[in-house]
Amino acid sequence: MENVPKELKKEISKEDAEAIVATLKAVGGVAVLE
Amino acid sequence: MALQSGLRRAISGVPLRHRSAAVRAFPSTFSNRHFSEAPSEEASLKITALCDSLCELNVIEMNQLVTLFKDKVGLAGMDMQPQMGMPMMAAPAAGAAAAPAADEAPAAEKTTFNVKLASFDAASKIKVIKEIRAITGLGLKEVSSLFLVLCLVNCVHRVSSLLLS
Repeated sequence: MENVPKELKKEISKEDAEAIVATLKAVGGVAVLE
Repeated sequence: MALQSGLRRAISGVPLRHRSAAVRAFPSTFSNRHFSEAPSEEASLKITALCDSLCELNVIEMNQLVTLFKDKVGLAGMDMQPQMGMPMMAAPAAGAAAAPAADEAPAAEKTTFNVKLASFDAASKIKVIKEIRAITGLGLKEVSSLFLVLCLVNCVHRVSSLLLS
């Protein structure tokens, strides 16, 4: 459990974060912004 | 017994290829008569003890376990709803997640964000893993751990939900 990443990406711009969310959504994943 | 029945019902919605981890974790609950692909190797003493402890929990303790586990793995505050019939965590809408923060501090607008994986379609697991590895540069082991944690958290949550219903 120690190596489990808590975030996919940290402290990135909203545009970049939304691009990642859209990319993952396109392949069947669901990511959220915090 | 109610917990074991709940576990069996919870895992019935899990694709066959994901069941082996749960079967290994709860060998007494998921015996070979339930799943023919159950592994033949014996569970370690540590896992057996953990399984026994889990089976002794009541609903309230199970709920506390889910909360604590989510805190431990950094998934606190996320909604836990099945997505597309799969035992994964469904994400709250990004706007809904950001709304409370906006209410608390409307003056200080967020400029940086963290991205977390909330759930995935089990049928597309490989594609999602490849995409996450490309995005993050993480190794296969780390990404697989993340997926396993999502599965485990949701499995425990489903069991507690079944027991509550």
